[in-house]
Amino acid sequence: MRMPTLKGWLEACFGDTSKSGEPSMNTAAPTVEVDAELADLIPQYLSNRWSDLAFARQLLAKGDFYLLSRMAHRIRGSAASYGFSRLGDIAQALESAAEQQDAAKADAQLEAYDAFLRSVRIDYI
Amino acid sequence: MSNDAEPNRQPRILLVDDDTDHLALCSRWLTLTGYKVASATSGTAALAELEQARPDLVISDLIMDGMNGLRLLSEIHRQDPVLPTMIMSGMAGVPDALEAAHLGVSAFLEKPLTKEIFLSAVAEALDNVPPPAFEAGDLQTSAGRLVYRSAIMQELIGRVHRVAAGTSTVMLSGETGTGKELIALALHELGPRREQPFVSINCSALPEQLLESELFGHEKGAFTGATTRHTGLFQAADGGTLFLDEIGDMPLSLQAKVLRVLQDFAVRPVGGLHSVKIDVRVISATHQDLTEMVEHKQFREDLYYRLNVVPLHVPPLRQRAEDIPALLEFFLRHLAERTNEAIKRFAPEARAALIQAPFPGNIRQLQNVVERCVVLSSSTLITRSLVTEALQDQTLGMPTLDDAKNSFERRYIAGLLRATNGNVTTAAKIAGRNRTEFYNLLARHCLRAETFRQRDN
Repeated sequence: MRMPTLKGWLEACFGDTSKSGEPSMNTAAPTVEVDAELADLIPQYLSNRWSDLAFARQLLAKGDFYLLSRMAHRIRGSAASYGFSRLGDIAQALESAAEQQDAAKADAQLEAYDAFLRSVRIDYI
Repeated sequence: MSNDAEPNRQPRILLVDDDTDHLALCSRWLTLTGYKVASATSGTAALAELEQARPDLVISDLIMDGMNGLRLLSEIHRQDPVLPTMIMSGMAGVPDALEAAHLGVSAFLEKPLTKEIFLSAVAEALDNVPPPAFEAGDLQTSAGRLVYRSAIMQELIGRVHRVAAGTSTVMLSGETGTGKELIALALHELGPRREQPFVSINCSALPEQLLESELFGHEKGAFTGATTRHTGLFQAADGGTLFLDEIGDMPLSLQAKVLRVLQDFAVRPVGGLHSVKIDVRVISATHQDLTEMVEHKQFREDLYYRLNVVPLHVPPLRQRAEDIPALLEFFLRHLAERTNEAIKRFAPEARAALIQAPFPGNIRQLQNVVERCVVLSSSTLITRSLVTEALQDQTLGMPTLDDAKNSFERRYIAGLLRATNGNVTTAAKIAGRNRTEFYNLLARHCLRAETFRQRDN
């Protein structure tokens, strides 16, 4: 597995206010509030996101931007609904980067994605 | 698939999405709200699940590998045109939305969904579910079904059940087309006289002399042309019920004779010497304001009070608009059965237009509008524009083709019988029908050949 880049890690933890339309900056480890009635679905959900991350990296390495875009789109479609709005934002930025076939931007978003998954804390409400 | 007559059961929803996480989330939201959920991760799996799940609503993702959401819903509507559907998508374009609208999709939801928006759309789509065509509460008579869901009709039908058990004379008031004759029949068939005759006559349809002869009968030779003895409808209904429709149109001279029958429980045929005791329950109906007619001396006050022992008012359709969805479903199914064609359905906006439309002709007019829409619609989905057109034509007072044909047929047959002096053989020959067919026509239009013989001789 690739190590997260410093830029990606920083963006995941603190955001990047210099780029509009991309995930906003956090000032601390991301904490999301999730409906308690979804609690038993969350482990599987996060496990699937880790699998997605590994596959997304393979796609980026192969330059398969089409499938990368589709995958990001799918993640975006459910992340915010579960309560992971920031993950949804990262997925949207990844989708956009894949559509532009911008490998550097896509890589940066995958790092942000990785950092988010590593650091996210969940409060069940 | 939908429209089971299972009261108060959990609505069933078939959820289709190839994103298993999204599927799990929506499924959880739905089950927590009390819906029963079946799920599928592809269009093909959804079609396989359809028969088993028997859903009231199908919700599908738009973009899926293999069969996409719109193809799936199109296939589902081929099997069940009245099944409501919803689409969810994160990347829908205008063409998709247009196709979805054409398919009659209830809602087109954009991902990511929020729980509130999703459940609200589901509730709305299920609210648009055509109600069961038949419910245990509906009142079935031998001549048709009284379909209702409204409180005002529930109250009326409750009274009908109570009144049916007795023998009191009943007066039905209500506008034309509200179903007064069906209520009269229900009163008869729900009561202890159900095994006895139910005899109906429209007092506005016959001239005075004929109406008198029809009601009271006559003896042979009672008047010129009375070559045979004729039993009147009061006697024909002995033991049962006589329904006097459009009683407000009865001539004053006859009103006095009817009053005497109701007072004496005896009828004396025209030209007869003796009265015959009868046991008849009389139900009368009118669309006119009889109290006003009494004031203007157009209707006898004593007869009014004699007939109006138990008044029942049949409400106009505008006072029971909540019954319209059930009536639409009933008429659509009835027409599909009659024509042996696939059932058609109204697009949601077309149904809304019908629910909001005024129907001065009441249920009869609604039925005509539905029939016209079904006949003219080239697809299984009846559009709002077609409904609008049908409603406009109805307001012009145009009868349907069937109504116009029926009206002509009745006049034609009556004319033939008059011309042939009530000779069925000759009339049938002129009409190009055999005697059996001609008698069937007479029965269909409630015409009696002997009436014309008596009148014209």
